[in-house]
Amino acid sequence: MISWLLPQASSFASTIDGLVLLIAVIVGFWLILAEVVLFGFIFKYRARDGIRGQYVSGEDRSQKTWVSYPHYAVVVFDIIIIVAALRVWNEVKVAAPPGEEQIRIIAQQWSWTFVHAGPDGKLDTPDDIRTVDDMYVQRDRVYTFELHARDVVHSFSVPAFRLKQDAIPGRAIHGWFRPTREGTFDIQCVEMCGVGHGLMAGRIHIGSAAQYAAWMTEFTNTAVAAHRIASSTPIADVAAHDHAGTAGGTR
Amino acid sequence: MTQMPRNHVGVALTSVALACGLLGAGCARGEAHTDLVGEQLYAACEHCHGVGGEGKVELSAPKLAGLPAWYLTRQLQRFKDGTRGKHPDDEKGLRMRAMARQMMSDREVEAVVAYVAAMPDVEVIPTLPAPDPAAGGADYAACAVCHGEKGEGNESIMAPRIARLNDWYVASQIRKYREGIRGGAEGDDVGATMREMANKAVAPERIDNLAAYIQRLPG
Repeated sequence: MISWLLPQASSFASTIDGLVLLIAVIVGFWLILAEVVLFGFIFKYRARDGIRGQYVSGEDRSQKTWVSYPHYAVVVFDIIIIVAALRVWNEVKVAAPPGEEQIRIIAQQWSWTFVHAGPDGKLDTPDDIRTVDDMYVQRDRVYTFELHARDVVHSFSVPAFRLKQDAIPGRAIHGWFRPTREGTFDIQCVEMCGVGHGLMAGRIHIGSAAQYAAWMTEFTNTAVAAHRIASSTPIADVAAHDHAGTAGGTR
Repeated sequence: MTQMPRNHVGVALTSVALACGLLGAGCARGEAHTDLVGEQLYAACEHCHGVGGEGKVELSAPKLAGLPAWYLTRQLQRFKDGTRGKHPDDEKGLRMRAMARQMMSDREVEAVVAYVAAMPDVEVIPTLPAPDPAAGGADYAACAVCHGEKGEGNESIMAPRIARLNDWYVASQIRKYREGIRGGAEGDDVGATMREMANKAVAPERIDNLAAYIQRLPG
C-alpha cells in the first residue's frame, strides 16, 4: 500500500513497509475503536435534565476492567509488534547476505561523495571511481556500503530503499542493500547538518549489468580527473582516518 | 428555522474576515517572492561571507566585496552547474556548490550579484605566516599578462580582478589549480588555462609569496 506513494527499490523495502503497515493497522484499529467508545459514551451519558453527574472513583471491579483490559491488549499487541520488528531488524541489520561489491559513501556539508569499486569490485584499488551527488549501482547485486562523515553528523537516506543510516565523524559505519528496481531515485540527508542541509540531495541510478558496465567504462575513460582516485587525497584521507580509529583528531 | 444568535454571527464573520486576511497575506508573500531583492537573497550568503562581503577566514569564505559583477555571475553559475566545486577533494567548493543552488534562477543570480557588486571594497588583513611579497612580485609577471599589472583584471579574456583578494584564498586556489581540484572539469577552458599557468608560473614553495603580493596589489 505504501508502495503506491513511494516505489520499493530494495530487497528489504517491502519487509519494512510490511512492518509499518502492521503497526498502522494495529494502532489504527484500536485508535478508531477507542474513539468510537469515547464518543459513544459522551453521547450516551450526555447531560440530561434531572440527572446528576457521578464521580467514578474506579474502585468497583467492573469499572476497572475498562482500564485493565485495554492494558492487557496493549501488552499483547506490543509483543506482536516487537517480534515483527525484531524479525525485520534481523533481516536488515544482522543477517546481511555476502556482499558482491563495496561502495564508500562520504557525507559532508552539503554533498555526497561516492567511491565506486570499479571493475574489480574492491575499494582502495587504482580502478576506483569517485562521483559527487550521483551514485551508480547495478540491479540485483548485493552492495556493502561504508559510510563516513567529513565534518558533522549526517544521515544517509534513500527513501525508495527504506534505508536510513546516520553518518558520524570519525566512524566507518557499515551496511548493505540490494537494488531490485531500475531507475533513478532520491538520496537525502535526514539529519540537520547546517544552513545548507535542505540542499544536500543526491540521486541513485540503478541500472542493468550492461548499463552499469557502460557507466563505469564512461567514468574510467573520461578525461575528468575528479573521477579517478589517487593514493592519498583529502577525501581518501577521510576513510583512512576513520579506519585508523583516530576520532577527534584533525584531518 | 431557528435564527442564529447574534454572537454566533459575529464569530462567523470574524472567522471569515481572518481567513480572507490570511489568504491576502499569503498572496502578498507570493508577490514579494517574485519581486527579487538582492539584499534578501544575500541573507543566504552572509552567514559565511559576512554582511559587507568581507569574508571570514575561519569559514574559508573569501571576501566578495570589490569583485566585478561578470565574475560573480560566472562563478555562481559554474558552482550551480558543477563546473566549479564538484571535485570530491574540494571540500570548501562542495559546500559553496550547494549554497549557490539557492539562487534558483538567472534572475535571482542577477539580483544577488548586483547587490554584491555594489558593496564597497574593504581592507584585507594578511593571514599567511611570514610571506615575502617582494619575492612574489617576480612570479606575478606571468599572471600580469592576463590579470593586469595592478591586478585589475580583464573581462574580455575572462581574467578577474585579483587585487586585494585574501592571501589565504589566492594561495588555496593556486594549489587547487595545480592539483586539478579546480579547473579540471569538463568544458572548463578558462580553468584549464589557469591550471597550466599555476603549474608553470610558480613553484609550490613560492605560492604564499605570490599570494601575499597579489593581496597588496592596488587594483
